[in-house]
Amino acid sequence: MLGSRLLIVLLLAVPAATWSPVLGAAGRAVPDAYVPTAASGDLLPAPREAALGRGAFRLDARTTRIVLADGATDEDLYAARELTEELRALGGPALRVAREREVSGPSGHILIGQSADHALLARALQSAGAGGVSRPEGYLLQVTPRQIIVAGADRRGTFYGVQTLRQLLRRGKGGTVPEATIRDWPDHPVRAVHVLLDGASDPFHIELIDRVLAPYKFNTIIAEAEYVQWESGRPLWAPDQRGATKAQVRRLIEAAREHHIQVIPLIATLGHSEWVFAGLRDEALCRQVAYGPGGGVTCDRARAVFPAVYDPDRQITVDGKTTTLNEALIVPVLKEAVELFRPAFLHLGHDEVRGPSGLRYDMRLYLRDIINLSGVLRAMGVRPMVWGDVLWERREEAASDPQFGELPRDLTVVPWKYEDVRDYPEAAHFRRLGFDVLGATWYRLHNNYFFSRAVRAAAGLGMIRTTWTGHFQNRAALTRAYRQLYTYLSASAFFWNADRPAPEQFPSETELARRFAEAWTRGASPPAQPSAGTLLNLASVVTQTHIDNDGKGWQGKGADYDLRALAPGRHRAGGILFEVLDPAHTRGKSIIMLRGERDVAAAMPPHVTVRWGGRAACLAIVHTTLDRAVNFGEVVGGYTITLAGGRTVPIELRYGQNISSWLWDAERGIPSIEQEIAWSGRTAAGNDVLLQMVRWKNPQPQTPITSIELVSAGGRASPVVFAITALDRCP
Amino acid sequence: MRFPLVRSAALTLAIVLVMTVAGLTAPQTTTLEFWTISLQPFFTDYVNGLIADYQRANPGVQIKWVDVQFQAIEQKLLAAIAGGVPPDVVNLNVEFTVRIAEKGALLDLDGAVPAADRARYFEGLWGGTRFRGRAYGIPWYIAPPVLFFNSDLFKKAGLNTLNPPDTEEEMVAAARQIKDRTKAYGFMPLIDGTRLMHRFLENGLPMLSADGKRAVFNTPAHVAYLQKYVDLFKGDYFPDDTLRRGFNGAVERYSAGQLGMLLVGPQFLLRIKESNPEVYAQTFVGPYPAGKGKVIHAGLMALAVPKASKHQQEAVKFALFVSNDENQLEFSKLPGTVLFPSTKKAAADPFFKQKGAGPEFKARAIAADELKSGRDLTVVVPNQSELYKIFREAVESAFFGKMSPKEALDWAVREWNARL
Repeated sequence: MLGSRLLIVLLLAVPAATWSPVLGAAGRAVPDAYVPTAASGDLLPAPREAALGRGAFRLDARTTRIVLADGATDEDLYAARELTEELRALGGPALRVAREREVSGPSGHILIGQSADHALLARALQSAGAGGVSRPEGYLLQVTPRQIIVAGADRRGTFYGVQTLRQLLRRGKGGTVPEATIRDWPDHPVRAVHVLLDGASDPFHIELIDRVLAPYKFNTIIAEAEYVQWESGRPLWAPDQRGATKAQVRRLIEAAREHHIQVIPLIATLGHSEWVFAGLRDEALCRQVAYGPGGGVTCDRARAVFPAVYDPDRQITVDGKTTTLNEALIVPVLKEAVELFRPAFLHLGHDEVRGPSGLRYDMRLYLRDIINLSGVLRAMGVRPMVWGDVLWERREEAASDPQFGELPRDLTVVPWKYEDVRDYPEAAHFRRLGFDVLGATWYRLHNNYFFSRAVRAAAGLGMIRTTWTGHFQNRAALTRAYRQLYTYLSASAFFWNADRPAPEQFPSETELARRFAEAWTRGASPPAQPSAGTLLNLASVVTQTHIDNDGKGWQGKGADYDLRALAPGRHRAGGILFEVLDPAHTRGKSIIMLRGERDVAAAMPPHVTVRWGGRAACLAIVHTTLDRAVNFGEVVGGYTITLAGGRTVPIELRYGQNISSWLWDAERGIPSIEQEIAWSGRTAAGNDVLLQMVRWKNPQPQTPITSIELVSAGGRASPVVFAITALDRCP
Repeated sequence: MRFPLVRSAALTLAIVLVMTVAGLTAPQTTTLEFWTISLQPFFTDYVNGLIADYQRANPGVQIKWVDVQFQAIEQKLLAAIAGGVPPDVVNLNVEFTVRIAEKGALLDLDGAVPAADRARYFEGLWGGTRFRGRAYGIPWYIAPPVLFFNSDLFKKAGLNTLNPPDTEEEMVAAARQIKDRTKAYGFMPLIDGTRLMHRFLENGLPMLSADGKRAVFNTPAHVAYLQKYVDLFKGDYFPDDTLRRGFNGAVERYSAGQLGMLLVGPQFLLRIKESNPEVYAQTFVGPYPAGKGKVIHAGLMALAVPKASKHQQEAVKFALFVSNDENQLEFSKLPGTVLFPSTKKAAADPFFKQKGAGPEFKARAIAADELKSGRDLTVVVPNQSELYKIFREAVESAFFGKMSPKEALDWAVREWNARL
């Protein structure tokens, strides 16, 4: 024993700059630096009725079959394939798909289908004494140690039962399924996500359907399609080349169909018709059709500055012929859209219709345009839909116009409201007038919860979760506007089940972001194996404390605004272990705060070098910034890892991507799917706070790491490092 | 401003001479891009005239004018700057100026404008766009708010059209009376988004501690003020789109004859006239019903120069031309317009004291009188966009029942204090 103590003392006496492979690290070796964790959290959307048992069904590649009806269709096969893919992603057994005639009985199998055409499943239901679910899109999912039954009221119901089963599979990491009986059906017939189509829709929206929308039980996409490369109206107008091609749209529609999702095109007419002005070949014509007192408005294609609203009836001359914008462009585009999408509905837009500089748009013209365009759609067997803001905000004026009575009663009105409001009287108002109603929400939790309930109470058609990431931004949405995507999950939950869970019990945004990322990356890499590693001891290089007892630590604002909620000791994030130092044991310091503009960081070092001498396949660094950077993507600092032999590898810290402020971002939420949250908590004052984690993969895992240099760019968002874990194997 | 003929002719001659001496080499043309906010279609001729005058006086310079709607200006500007194609001169309000200056994207005009030129503007206005001690906007025009009211609705509600509400309390009482007796809404108070900050300040309720390091807008007085409007909202005394649509929604509703009172800059009179001449004919004007703080938020419009402009010097020169005494005076004198200049000399012109018939004259006289208590009350803080967003969320939470007014303001103060 004495000998080893002496050896430790001698080794510690080696100058820090000297690398010694034998020495290992100034850290603690741990066998469980990474352990894969089973999916946690409640089922989303919450099932209507769920009873969980204590047993489990064990999946066995040799004996377990996914059993479909003898007459199963491609759609049934598709649902079965979803299940096998889920198991593959989880590293579970590869199950064969069989027809009912190929198995002797239900025992040991997963039976999928509708009882009306799956005799084996019907018998199994009967002998289990389980009544089916008859409501549209409903299903019964029964998991016993003997068998699994997914009995849909219809094909969609079966499909959604399979989606719930996929979530249960994750709890058992693909090896077992916990015992459960779930009876479930949706509150709303239409559960839609609104998306903006562009040249990146294929593959982005197709992947979104496959990984998120269908698994979370959306059944409709409202596809904003004005920027599709339409062929109509070419003498006077040309589409934006960044728009989706018709071939891309066809692929999207096909992918949606496979996932039981209908696609409804939205062509923004009258309001938000920048696409019309931007495509007009003649800028003089742009000024001519703009609504408002004659001419004198900016129509600048290069700057994309246009009026937002046109006059559909104003006479114009195209190729020497007198016509109107509706006749020459709008109606032909609508007809082309119907031909492409073959939809049951077409959304005509008509929102935020007002003249330049806030001028009031003529209500007669507004109503007449809806009536005219609805007539065009009806002739093609398609039902019209319009946004409801103008008809709601100017309801007295609209109702007093004689044309109001001429609005078609098969018109679906879509009032949108995005605030966390409790009351949505629009829904009942439009229903009383005899229109179908779809409520449109945005990303906020209470907004989705209360609006969904209001539409259900008014016996409306359903709900739409809108997406406003900007035109032609789909490719960037995951990394710049992630909040708009991960909050699809809360909308899906409330659109399916308007009662549960209550907003107060709903998973946090951090959890939603994690779940979305998990769904998005599912199957991208083989399941991770446990790994040993080292918790680097940062005690010799810490510069500040995260617990501020005297107004001199963390941000210098005392106990109310510090990170004392982060207990010293070991924590786990994404399966990775990290250790936070206790300032009481390390000379009053626990973190590496680097120099920055804030008062407390001004006296800190601009860079700190962590010397080490061990091998690692991966490093995980838990960190945050002391304040918010002004610009998204701004480089706020960096880490340079030096390998034995002198090779250096940099990690750039880009604000909003791999690092963010310790305070919850009120504007952006979690702005990028790249951002991994290591820990979240709350200050004593009540602020939501969080730390991020960046992972680095060593290009030469056999070569020891000699040092990690941490550097601040010196701005307001200066980096702070809390812990570094070295992993023998990358998760 | 039209360039006098003699000066124009002399200038032309000078150009000819210069060109002759230079051996008739074609002069290099500089194109400056000039962005304004919502000046079309009402001020199209004025701005075109301004540009023509400048081009005549500066033959090597071409001005390209782009008018952008208020709602789009910030986003378009940031996109243009990021895309490396910024405008050279851009019209912004104080809130936008500070926010974009914080991103390091605007030219420091304390440094770029000579002291003699700076001295032509009211000191308070020149300092209005200061962020971290530097000014980023050349003051252009100001429009102190006034009270427009629908005399027809006033009469139906039993209110005296010759004695409009003088204080905020009286305005609230009048709004209740209009709603109770006519079913039309009496007003849409300016409390949407961050405008409640202005109302706090107009009532002597500060937003920040004296050293600017702490948020203090959750005192019992602040809570009581917000509670008053929450109660009015719950009593359906103003419409539910007030918070979402702000003054644009109010102007639209007023123009439809469905709102008793409208609190806006007097320049909105033109829109009312264009949208609904009947309502315009029923419109009377009164002073802005003041709060208890003896100060009125008078929004300042400024001219900024993006740092990325390739012609910064020319841009500053043009911005000074647009906002010089003569041009501001001409802008203020346009028929149907009620705007006030930011330069001392122009503001002293006897025109602002003239009397005449019509609501414009009355509005001008009232607004001129208000100028002495008018200030741009935009709260300048670092990390403005996030702090403003938090404040907006708090206000909405109080109105929409997610939190009580006290909880909402306590929450926002906590969030501000963690960030300040």
